[in-house]
Amino acid sequence: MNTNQEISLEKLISAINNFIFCLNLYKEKINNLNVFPVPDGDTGTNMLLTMKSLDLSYKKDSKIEDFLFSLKNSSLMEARGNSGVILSQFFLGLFSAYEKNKVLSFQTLADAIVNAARTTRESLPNPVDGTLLTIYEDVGTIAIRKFESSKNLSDFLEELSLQSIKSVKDTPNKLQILKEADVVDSGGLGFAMMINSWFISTLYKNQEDIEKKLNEVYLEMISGLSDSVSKDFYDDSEEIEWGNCTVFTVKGENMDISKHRKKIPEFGESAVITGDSSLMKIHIHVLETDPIIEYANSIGAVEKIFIQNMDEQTINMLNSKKDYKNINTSIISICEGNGIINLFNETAGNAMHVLIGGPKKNPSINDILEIVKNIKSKNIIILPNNPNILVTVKKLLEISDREGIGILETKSIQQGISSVVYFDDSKTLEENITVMNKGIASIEEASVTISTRDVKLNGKDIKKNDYIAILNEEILDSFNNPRKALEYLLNDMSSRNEMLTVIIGHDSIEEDHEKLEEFFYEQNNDNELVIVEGNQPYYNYFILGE
Amino acid sequence: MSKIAIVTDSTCDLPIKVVKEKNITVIPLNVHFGEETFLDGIDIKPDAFFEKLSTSKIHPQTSQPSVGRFVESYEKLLKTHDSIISVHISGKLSATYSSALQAQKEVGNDNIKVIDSMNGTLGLGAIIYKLAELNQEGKTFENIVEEAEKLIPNAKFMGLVPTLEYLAKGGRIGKAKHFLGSLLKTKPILGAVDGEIQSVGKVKTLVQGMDFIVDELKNHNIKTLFIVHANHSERANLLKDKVSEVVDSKNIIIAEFGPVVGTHLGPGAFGVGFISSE
Repeated sequence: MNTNQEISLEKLISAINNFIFCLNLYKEKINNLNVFPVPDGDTGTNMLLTMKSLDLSYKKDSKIEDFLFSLKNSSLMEARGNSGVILSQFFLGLFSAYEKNKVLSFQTLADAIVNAARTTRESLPNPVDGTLLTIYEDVGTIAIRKFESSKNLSDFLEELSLQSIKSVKDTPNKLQILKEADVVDSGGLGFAMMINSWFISTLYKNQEDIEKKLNEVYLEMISGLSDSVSKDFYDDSEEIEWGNCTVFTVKGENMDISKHRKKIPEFGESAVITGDSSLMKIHIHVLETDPIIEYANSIGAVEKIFIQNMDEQTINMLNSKKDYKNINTSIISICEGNGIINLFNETAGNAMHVLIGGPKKNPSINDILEIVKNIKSKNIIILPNNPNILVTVKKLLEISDREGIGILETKSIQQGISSVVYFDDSKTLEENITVMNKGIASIEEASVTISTRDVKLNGKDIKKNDYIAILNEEILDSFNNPRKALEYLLNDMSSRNEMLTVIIGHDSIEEDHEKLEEFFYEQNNDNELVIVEGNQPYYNYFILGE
Repeated sequence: MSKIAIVTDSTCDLPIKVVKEKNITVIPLNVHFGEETFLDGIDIKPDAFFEKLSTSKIHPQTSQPSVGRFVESYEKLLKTHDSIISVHISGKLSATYSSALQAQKEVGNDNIKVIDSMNGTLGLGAIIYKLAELNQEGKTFENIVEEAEKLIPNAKFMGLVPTLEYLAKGGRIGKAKHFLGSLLKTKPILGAVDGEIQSVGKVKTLVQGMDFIVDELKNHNIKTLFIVHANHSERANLLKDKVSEVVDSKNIIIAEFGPVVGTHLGPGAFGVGFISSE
């Protein structure tokens, strides 16, 4: 062996210390990329703590073998987290490579990386490409190919450095979840930082230069991608700032996702397109929902559509564009108010078919029949959500000869909402009706609305334009502003209910939710308050107690 | 007669009393508050953990036992036992199984059988409880391994969390993810399906959740039922009252979620674990 190819123990130790220094700087940046196998944001921390626990104690006369043995053992004992364990395979590999070569050399380093790749692949129940494992394999292959011809350590490490950067950049192409999250593999990047921090330390001695170069390498590895897993990836819900926030999935075969990824952003703003050639999830803010849904329909079957801030036209379009092919039982819910329509759509997904209607807007039998005709599923459950509409629906059942129509006798929006939570399309029509009825049985419902005339009720004088508090169909009291009526009802109901849901109507929509929460939690620590913007007319609030 | 050691990890959440009586070896996972590390259930008990969880600014994280820790335990046990059956939390939820497998290779002894339970907390605990009983009855290594494979698909866990925030933070929310941001704050009934956390039903309130669980239990033949809670014994007792119409209360064992599982479920969580037998 060429003695130029020997690596002294001092150099190895200083390389490890350089890497620990580098991890201290990049710990958070590496954490931010962590998405696989578990997106718990601890890759960098785990790598750092694993490295810091390595036994680097050594005396002038101690043997290399003894040093590498305790290095291996300490890494095995103290490796923390998935990334730490895989990183420790390098030190295991280094020890066995030294046993084979009897010297610490370029070849030993190359063998160590190859060993690490092998033991990692063997030790994982489901080895996955596009992770630190792939970086070990790629860098190991280059190291074996180049160690003989390398003139010095710097040349050798440069080869490894170039390969490591290239491999890290390629990880999203090998592991779909990385692509979806728009990041490179965090563990892979961590190991690449180890190679690069070593390489850079052979070129520069000045701390500032080293840090500058490290940063260049880091930026190169993440170039074109995000520096952290996007919040969207964790949480699909978000605030809408512009137009209609539109979310849906498209099922199809051999869809060209990269083509659609270019095309879809043209329809609006904040487009996020994830998935693969058989299932895509699309999120976009658009002014008009029609064009994007049309486009999506041309690609494949559009499902699970969720749109905020929609108008009536949009709702009709939604009903007609849903893919009902795989639905056994559809639900027709008669309701109004964008927020309430969203609640029904969110809760029953593709099974939900909304018909606009309410207290002063009773749909005719024909209106309902029109919708029934368009539904292809075997069964239909109708939720009237209003006593007058209930009468209409019952008449419809008498005259319609379509089979498989069931009616759930909901007399209010609150009943409709609490029943639909229990809908399960894998159940039969009868089973669904039973379980949905059970959902209604135990609830309390209340509402706040304005009095349209002077009236004397239960010995109380109620003036026109007073706000009345109604609990379970009984008028309890009247107030000069709606918020007082709401607070009165919440106080009364909270003693009997674990969860209270307040659905805010059109006339109270501008109010401050936080103040309402503060008011509620001041006196009810054990209960839960859910506030939803329902946007319904006439009623300032609907309240559902469970 | 050959002597067998039954080994599991601290995510089984079995009470210490049961662990001692049934002669079970429990390998602790780690809980980290920043750079401060605790051995699950050893350095930090549930009470102290939930106290720290509510006061600490740092959200804890968890990690699997190191390979070295498994090697150490296996080697020690092999001095007094002929073989080891080591059953662990689902490989999809933790790298513990992978650490154990690697340790088995490292020790290089074929008398160690490492098994993925495809479950966690008292789903895993119920399997271990049964295996430890078989071991005390003097069943052979092959018998017990075979029985373990049969128990895995029949081991059930169902539970509820007051908030999904902890599961989301720890990255273990799995297929229950779509409940996040639900407008109505609908709560999933969580279960272990195919080794992952999935929703097996939905309710609005925790009491409705208890009723759901009681209804579901009626579909199974249950010998021993574990009720487990995260720092909320009131809730566990309420559930016990409700469940006693289905399972004889002398066959109910109340357990607590340990710090590692507690990190991912959060305070107030509760659930049941059992083996469904024909």
